[in-house]
Amino acid sequence: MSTATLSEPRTRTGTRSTPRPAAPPRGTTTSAPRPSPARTTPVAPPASSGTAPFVLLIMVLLTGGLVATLWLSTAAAADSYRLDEARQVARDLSEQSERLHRDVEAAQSAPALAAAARAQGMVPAGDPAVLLVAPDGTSQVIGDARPAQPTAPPAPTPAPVPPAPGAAGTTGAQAATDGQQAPAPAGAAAAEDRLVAVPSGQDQPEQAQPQQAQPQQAQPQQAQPQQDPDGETPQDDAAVTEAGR
Amino acid sequence: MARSPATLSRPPARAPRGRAPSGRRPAPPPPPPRRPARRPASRPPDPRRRLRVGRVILVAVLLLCTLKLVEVQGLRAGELSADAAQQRTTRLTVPAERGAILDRYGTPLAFSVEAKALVANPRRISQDWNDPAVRSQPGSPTPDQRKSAIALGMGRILGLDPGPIFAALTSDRSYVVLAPLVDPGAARQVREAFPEIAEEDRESRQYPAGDVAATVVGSASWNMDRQKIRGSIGLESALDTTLAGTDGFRVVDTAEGSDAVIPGTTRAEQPAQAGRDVVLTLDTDLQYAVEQRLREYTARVGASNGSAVVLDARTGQVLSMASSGGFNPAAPGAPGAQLSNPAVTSPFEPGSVNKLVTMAAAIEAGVARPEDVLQVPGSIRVADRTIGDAWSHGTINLTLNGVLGRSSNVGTLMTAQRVGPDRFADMLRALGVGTRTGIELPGESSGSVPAREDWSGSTFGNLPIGQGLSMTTLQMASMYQAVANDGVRVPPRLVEAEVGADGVRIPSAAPEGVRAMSPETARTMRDMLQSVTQDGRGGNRGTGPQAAIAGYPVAGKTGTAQQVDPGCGCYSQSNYWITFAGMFPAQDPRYVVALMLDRPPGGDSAAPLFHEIGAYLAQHGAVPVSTAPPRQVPLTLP
Repeated sequence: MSTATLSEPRTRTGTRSTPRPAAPPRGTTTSAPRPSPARTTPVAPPASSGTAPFVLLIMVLLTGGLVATLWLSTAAAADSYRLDEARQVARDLSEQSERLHRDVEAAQSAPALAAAARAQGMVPAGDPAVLLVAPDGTSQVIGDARPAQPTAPPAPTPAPVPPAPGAAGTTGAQAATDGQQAPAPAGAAAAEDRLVAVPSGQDQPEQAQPQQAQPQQAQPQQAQPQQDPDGETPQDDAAVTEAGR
Repeated sequence: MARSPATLSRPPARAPRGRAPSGRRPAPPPPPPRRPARRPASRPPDPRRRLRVGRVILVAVLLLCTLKLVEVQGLRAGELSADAAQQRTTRLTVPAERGAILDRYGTPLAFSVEAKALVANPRRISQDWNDPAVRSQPGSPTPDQRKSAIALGMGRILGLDPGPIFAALTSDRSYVVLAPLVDPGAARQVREAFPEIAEEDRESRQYPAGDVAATVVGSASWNMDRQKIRGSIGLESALDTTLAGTDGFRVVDTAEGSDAVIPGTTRAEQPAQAGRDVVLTLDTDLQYAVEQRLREYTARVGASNGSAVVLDARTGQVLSMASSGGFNPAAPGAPGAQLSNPAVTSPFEPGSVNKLVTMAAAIEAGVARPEDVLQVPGSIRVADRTIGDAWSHGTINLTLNGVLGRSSNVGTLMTAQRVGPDRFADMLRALGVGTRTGIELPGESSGSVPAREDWSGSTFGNLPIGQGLSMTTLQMASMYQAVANDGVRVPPRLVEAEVGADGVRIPSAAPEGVRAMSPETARTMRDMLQSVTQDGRGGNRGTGPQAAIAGYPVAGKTGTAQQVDPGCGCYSQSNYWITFAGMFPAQDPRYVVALMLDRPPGGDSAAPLFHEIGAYLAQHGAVPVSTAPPRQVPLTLP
């Protein structure tokens, strides 16, 4: 196509040793009849001097491209390892967070808290008395203030009588969780969020008496611990009191 | 394709032509003889002809290709691409995470965590380890040795008993689930140790509060058919669609014969829509306290069953709904589990608690006032039946306060006669007896009230004293909620709101309130109901003073209803439903509590249980105390 236009100026370019690199070689092949030895000799050196940098350029480009490709693919491979690692870490962490979330929820659920409180020797507060302070500074007690009563240690199944309220709490916890235990967990199971810490033993001496003395129908708030189907209340209380002291 | 043969075939055709002139140019300089001279040189095949033939062949081939192209791309395109897609394309389900169930303060009652099921193909394991190539290697374990190693290893990693695992592995089946719900980390550990074990995605439902509110929340478990976790009991079942969300999908290409997804081949993707969280009106702490007290009391009096409902007096929201029975939602099939929620599913005859209807109708109609004095005989005759009081007496003077406070059947029936059956029936309906409350729980019973037109003469001698009709504990609570809420009964609800995955809270529609009585009547009724918890001497003592709470006036009503003896079809003289419904503080109620005990052998009152729950509620809800002295009104006059 371009041969015609390119061969035309060749007469001039050949003598002038123009740096146009493409023209001379093409000219030689396409218009074979015209070339003369006198002209071709001076044409060759400029042609080679024009091709060399081009070839060099191409070589540099190719090498550069190759190096770049290699580098990129290596980097990509390395990154994919890092990505994989990061993914694993993310997965492990999300699993861990899920596990911790589950554990926290289980530990702060009402039955778990009640069991933990009981394990520390806390007991349900029962009926509170309210101290009402009037604006003029006078105060009035509403309700009957009485110490919270530790309940008889529950006797679920043939478990040994727990030696201390602390231990009682642990067994009571199981009873409370399955909830189906018959009367035994009675008061112990009736833990709530208002738990009053009773330093174990402090109140027991006074309580042992009302518990033993009062019949079932006495005051409703005291009714909780009284009815122990096994009739173990006295012994249990004794055990508690002793341990408490 | 079509071009390359052409370019390849041309050079040989052209080359001789191009070379021939250049090579022969010195010999035959004149152009004209060139053609004849060439012909003999290329003797048999004429290059032009060859060229022509070649062209024709090429065109023919091209034509064939075109035809095939048209066929493949046009005529059979759909079929072929469908085939191809079927080979590669896999539709993967993106599971939607099930929503959580929260209490009113956001404490989770149920939520999901990711889990894996470990499965194996015992036949395949036997086959692989029996393979001659494997067997020929010295020291390779037999299939049974391998299986026992797997069972022991899994038992160690998962902390399970290896026995059942080994039994499953040695069964002659091609699919066994070795461990249904395993922590993903542990599952990975097992699979790394034993490549024969595969894992499947599961969702593990967690119930951190254990059996607390289990009869309300219910339980959900993995459904193999649907490959999804499904609610089967309680709210988990009733709200399944809300909780479940919508599974998404991903259409990808997978390598044939494997599940390996070819990267970058996702064609379509629809993200899963996580299920919505459900916020309940329940208060977990209160629920736990009520459950504990109810169970303890039920066990103490020896009742076979008991249920309790605590409502918010203004909104009718269910704060607690407890049953003496229950189950562990993580293992609902355990023996002794009670899966139903009797507070909504088991109606009972309410007994004297129903006297509220007669009294409210009488006050509303203006036919009686609390201070009115009635001369109450020992018994009253209604149609063919004679009804007496729970205690024997001659004719006594009871105020209307006293009729309610001392729970006189005779006095109530006398009042009912003045109210008339129609107004009584209207009040009964307005208080929601005989119709479902519409709570979100499944299996709600409407209770039963005989239709007005079916009433016989003695029916009106039964209904006012709470026999011959039945209601659930929830309906009973709702009835008293109307009195607590100045006469407007707001149907009780359990779902406060739904929270979408985007965190947007959608409050449940508030149910329409029903006006059952005027605010004045409601106030009068609250005063009258305090007579029940009045602790006076002799004839001025109500039937439920044990329900009283120091510092809080309590308005309530005790009830005892005879159960029908299935043997004789008559009312039993030994089996009772013991009920109590009440509210406090009486002037401006915050809480409504309804209790039912089934067949306590001693016929103990439920009033002490009300006291226990009420005392807790007072602390828990920080209800201001009242300094006013307890209300004392004459119940019996000389």
